[in-house]
Amino acid sequence: MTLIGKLIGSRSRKPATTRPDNIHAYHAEAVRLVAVARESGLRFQRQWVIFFVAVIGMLALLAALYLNVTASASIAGRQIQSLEIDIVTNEQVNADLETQIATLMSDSVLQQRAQVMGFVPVDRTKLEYIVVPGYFPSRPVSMVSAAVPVEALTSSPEFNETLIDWISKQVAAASLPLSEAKH
Amino acid sequence: MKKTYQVRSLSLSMLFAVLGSVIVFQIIRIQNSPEAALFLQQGARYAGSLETLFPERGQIYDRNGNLLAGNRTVYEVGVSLADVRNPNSIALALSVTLGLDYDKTLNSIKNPPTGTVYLVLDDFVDSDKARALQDLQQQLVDQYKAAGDASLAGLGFRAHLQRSYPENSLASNVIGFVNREGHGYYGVEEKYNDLLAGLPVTVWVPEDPNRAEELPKVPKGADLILTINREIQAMVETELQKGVTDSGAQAGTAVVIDPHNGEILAMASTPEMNLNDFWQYGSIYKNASEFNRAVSMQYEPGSVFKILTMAAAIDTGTVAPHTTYLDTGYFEIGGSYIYNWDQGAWGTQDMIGCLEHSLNVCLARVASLMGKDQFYTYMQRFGIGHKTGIDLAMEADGRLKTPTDSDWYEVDLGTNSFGQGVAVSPIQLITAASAIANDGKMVYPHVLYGMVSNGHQYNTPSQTLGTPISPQTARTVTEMLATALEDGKSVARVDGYRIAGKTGTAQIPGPNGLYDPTLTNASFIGWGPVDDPKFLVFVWLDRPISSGWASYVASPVFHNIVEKLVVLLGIPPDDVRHQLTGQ
Repeated sequence: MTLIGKLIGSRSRKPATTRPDNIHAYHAEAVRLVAVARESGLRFQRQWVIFFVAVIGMLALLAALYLNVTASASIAGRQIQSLEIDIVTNEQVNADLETQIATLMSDSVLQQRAQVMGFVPVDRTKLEYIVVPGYFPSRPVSMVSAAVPVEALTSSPEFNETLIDWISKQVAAASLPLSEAKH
Repeated sequence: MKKTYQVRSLSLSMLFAVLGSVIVFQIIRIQNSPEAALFLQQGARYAGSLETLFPERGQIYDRNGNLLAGNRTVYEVGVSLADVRNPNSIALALSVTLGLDYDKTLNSIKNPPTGTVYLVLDDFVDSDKARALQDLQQQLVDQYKAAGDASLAGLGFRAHLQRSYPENSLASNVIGFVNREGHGYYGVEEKYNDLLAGLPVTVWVPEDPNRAEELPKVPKGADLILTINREIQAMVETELQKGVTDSGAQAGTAVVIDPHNGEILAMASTPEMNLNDFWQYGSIYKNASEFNRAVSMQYEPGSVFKILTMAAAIDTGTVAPHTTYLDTGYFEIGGSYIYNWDQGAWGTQDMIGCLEHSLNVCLARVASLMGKDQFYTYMQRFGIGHKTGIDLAMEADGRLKTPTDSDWYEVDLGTNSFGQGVAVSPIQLITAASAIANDGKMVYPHVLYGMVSNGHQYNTPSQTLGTPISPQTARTVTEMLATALEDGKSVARVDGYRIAGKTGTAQIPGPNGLYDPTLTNASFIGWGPVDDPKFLVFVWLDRPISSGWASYVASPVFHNIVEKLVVLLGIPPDDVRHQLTGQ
């Protein structure tokens, strides 16, 4: 049975009983078979098969994408949880270390160390005062950090804004007069 | 044959269809059953947990940024009951390392309360001990791996922060302490507890990583910067303790304040307490007012009060520095007699001599001349009998009887004029005296220099509580006090520095209202340099034994403090200062 014969099934088997004995006969036979196949709806079946395979492929693709995104989100979620634990731990360690340093630099410890090193408290009668141009007496400490506080990554609009929000914002921005638009 | 297969196929199809229908029916039934809500609750219970995030308690610094109160890591030790393999080993390890009772621990692990999953066995364990336990746990896991018996399996550690005080007892009376529940008591820790503690946040933490969200940032409590200078505080505590020991006093108090802005540079009170051992509070103090006598204890101040009477008299024009009177040794007022401290008559005296010799008769006469209305108006302007509003917990009110009170008598005008029959807290007296040291302006005493929150520092502005006397009066009284110290060759003086001050020796009233003949409160208040006061120092020794007189026990303490204070504050002697100013 020919390939086309297999595809079209029993309805196209009847012509196979006669065997042509030259090339022209084969050609005529093939043309006839194609015509028969067309008449029997082969094209219709092939389209359905292709459509079915395409749907399956799409579903598989979507499933793969979903799994990928879900897995990535899960991993990111775990990383967030882990990083948050690290942050808390590091903050505790920082506080602990600061207290340890303060203990090592406490007044009593420093006095003991100074005495061991041979220092003695100054006698006020031995002090000499001189004028130092440009000198200003020390002022109480300022504890404000020069570092700019970093905002959480997720506070950026990219993480909170929906597509609708974004489009609305773009439309609103586009409708602004040129003079008010941000450059 | 073909028919048989058809029957079988049909039967199987029917069976599976029925089974499927039953399953679908059961799903729908369960979802709509009365227990559905319960199932949902159970599901939700395991979907995550509510966790309260406690912010780190704010730190406390002195004015130069030295840490006075911080936080350190400690551990909660417990067991996950489902993972415990060998309760005996855990009980033994905890009894050896942490000193827990072996039997109690073992019993707790073997017979936990019903429904307990995790059992806390100890808390606030030092990191050294927790680390030792963790190391032991790991060693035993390695050793017992072959036998399949992880000896300390199930033992868990949870780190958290606990208040810690690197300077131990330094400035303990100002700082206060925090108990294990995280609540501040006394001093700054109590007064600013809400600021220091911050706001805890309760959040839902899902188990599902897909629903994991960034936890909200819990800002730590505000950091506080105090006006206290650590070095001055340590020096004042040392000198005060020396004074208490030398005089045999029951307790003592010393305060150093900047009279221009009310910043308290040092505030010491004995006995002190190591704040890291706060549970010893009960064995150190008999009552709450002893924790910080400078703020919470009120007493009859005695002769140091005379500076206020004299200031009022000068301000009203009742007397002038060189107004004289004849001291006969007694003064009759309200049917009672007022005598001098030595029961003697001092002859003709001016107002400087009156202060120099601390003559009760003089001040009673001056108050009488001034009149009760003016006298009490001025005392109220000085804030006597009212809280100053200092930012420390448990400030005492004091008591000033006035003519409108039912228990006030005419003689009270006389006794109040030299500091008897009136109760003040040291900080009240210091605040009142700041008006004399600061050109008539009475400053608000405070220990908070600034607060740091969310990266911003908010400094406390200096405030004036009032102007009870004129600048001229303030300068006149200061000059009178300085001259009195110099003429009297007081031991309080410090060579090279002109200082104004006054002693105060007050008898102590007993429970029956009569004054004890032997026990006294000895105090000294002074400021300097006279032409531009940079410090105001107050010393009070409670019931000194070596001598009851303030000039013998309190003045030396004042002298010793000022002698070191001028070095720490970088105040040159007056002549050098004038010379440098001229350059």
